[in-house]
Amino acid sequence: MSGNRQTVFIIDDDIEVCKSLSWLFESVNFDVKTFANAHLFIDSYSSKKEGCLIIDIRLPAMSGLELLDYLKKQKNQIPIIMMTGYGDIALAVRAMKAGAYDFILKPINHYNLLEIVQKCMDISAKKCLIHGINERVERLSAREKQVIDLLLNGLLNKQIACELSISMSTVEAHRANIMRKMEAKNTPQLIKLYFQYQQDI
Amino acid sequence: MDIASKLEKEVISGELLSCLCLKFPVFLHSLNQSLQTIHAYAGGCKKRLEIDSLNNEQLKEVLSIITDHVDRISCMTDMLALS
Repeated sequence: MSGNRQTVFIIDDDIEVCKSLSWLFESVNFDVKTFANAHLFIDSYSSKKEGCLIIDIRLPAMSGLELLDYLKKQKNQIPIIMMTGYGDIALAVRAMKAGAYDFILKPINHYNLLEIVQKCMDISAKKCLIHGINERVERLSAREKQVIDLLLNGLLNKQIACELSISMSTVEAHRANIMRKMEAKNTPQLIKLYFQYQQDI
Repeated sequence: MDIASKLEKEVISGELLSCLCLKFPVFLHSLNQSLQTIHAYAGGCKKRLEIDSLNNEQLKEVLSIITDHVDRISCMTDMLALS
């Protein structure tokens, strides 16, 4: 089941902090991966993995803010929590402006930390869902997109065939392909997926 | 105490205070790291106890780590008191 679990990625050069946070997050059934520096994280991270990222702002070589900028340039949408033991307000403001979801000062109460992480996980799950839907829509051909648009306008197969000057059997074939590419089990599910895609764009 | 000795004492205190001010952020950071570690371990124990998923060996190990960090904080505060 661990393959379905969401992952908390932690980057902190203090190994004791990493171990303690791993202990905490594993107690609520998250997978945890820790890294001593930003480069180790970049080398091993896959954007397809659902989760959130906790970064200590002061890291060796590449700082937390530099990593945040790097991920933003990569258009990586993983929710990011910046963390510091210094109480540096100026850095906190920079982190939030740079796109961090939240900024926490050590030591943070574990209830608050778990609450923030859970919110990040909810955002990540929604983004992964939208990304998944986008990938499915991109599989559709131009004609299939025409068929799905007409379908969502309430047209019957006969009407779609007439509108596109194609045969009924061709419309049915397109519909079958659409269902397969969109991984929809039925028409209501297909409609729901396509509406979610349209809302996102 | 004559004036020279008094002045010398004030200079030394000033230097110590200046040194302390420079090292204070490092001290604060180390303190916060240990406090964070303690908080996370305690929180993890609490969550595991809620679902009856903490055995004696795990608890012993975590308590040992927490104790180490408390001792570390105690050393730091002793150093601060002495300075």
